[in-house]
Amino acid sequence: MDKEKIKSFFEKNKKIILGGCAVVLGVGIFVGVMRSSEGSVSMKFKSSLDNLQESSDLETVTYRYDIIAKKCNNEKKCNMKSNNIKDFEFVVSCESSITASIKFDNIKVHENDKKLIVTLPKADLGEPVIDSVNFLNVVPGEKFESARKICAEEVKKRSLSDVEFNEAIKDHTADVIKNYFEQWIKALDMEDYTIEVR
Amino acid sequence: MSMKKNIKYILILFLFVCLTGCSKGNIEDIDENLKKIELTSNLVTYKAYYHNVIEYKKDKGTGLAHIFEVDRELFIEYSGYVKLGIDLSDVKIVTNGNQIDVYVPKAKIIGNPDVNDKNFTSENFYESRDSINKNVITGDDINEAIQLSKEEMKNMAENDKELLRLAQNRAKAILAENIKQVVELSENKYSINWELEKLYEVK
Repeated sequence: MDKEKIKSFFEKNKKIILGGCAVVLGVGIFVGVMRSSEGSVSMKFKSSLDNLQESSDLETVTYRYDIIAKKCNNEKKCNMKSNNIKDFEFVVSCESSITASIKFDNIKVHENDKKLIVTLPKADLGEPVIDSVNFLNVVPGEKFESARKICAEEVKKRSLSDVEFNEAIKDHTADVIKNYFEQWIKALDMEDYTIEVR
Repeated sequence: MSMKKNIKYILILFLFVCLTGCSKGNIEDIDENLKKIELTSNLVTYKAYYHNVIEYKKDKGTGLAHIFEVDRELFIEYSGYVKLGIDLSDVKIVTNGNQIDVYVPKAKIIGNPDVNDKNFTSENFYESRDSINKNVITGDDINEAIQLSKEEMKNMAENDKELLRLAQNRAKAILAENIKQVVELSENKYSINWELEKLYEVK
């Protein structure tokens, strides 16, 4: 008898019961997903000195630049000014720097009528140092190398056309060298000499 | 029948809302063009190249969204470098009778370490297999790993007293060679005494 009652109860309320089960299942899935969490991360590092390269670079101006670099999905049809992330394979914000230097070994000094003429070699722009690359969209790790390259290209391009940076290289390098040689002139009792940096 | 259809649609909507990730912000939300020019006078005497290995482990997540995920491992092998040298503006030159005392400051790490781009390639990234539900090792994960590895390289170099002493000695040699051109011009004869700032106190 009981079985008959239960059966008829289900028959009469089938829709409500099924609906209720669907809601409970949906809420269960929703809560299950919302309470999901990412796995933890751990890292180990090993470093060993490989080789030493001699240098005599006198670094005088460093240009630090935070930029946004983008790589298009389709290089042939690409609007770099687009703000729609779907147009790009990735978009990154890069913290980077580029430094100007001269070869200290190549500084030439000669004297002309109580004037110390210091001739500087041409300043070089080193390769950009990319401190950090942060992706706006989630991309697999193999894109990291490509993102670094794009950041470096962008920083180099901007530094070459930056008038303020290029003026600072000329002016500050001359100041550093002049201050250094002034100490020597004073020490060598050559205070009647002037210094000209070219 | 229409009630069944309604329930189906509700379920599909629930799943869609739960499982669809939120997309990140628009590009225009990011600030750009923060520029800073730093004036320095650093004489770099060595570039120290380090061979580095990173072992990166990302555990599978917990919860329904991470079902069937597996733990992932990534090994990265790369060459990086650290620059060492002195600050030329800290070199002090003092006359002491017929002797000139030249004080060469301690060597230090110059700038930030970086990877050696000549051999930095994703071919040196070795990843373990993934499963149906991807536990992706992302570009940001690699960025974090590389940054921490560079810190490790810098710490190693900073604590390598022998390396710093070498860098300081080379600075002295470079300055000595360069200044001959000026010393020869002086009418007086001077001897030059090179004093190197000590890296650490001997107890």
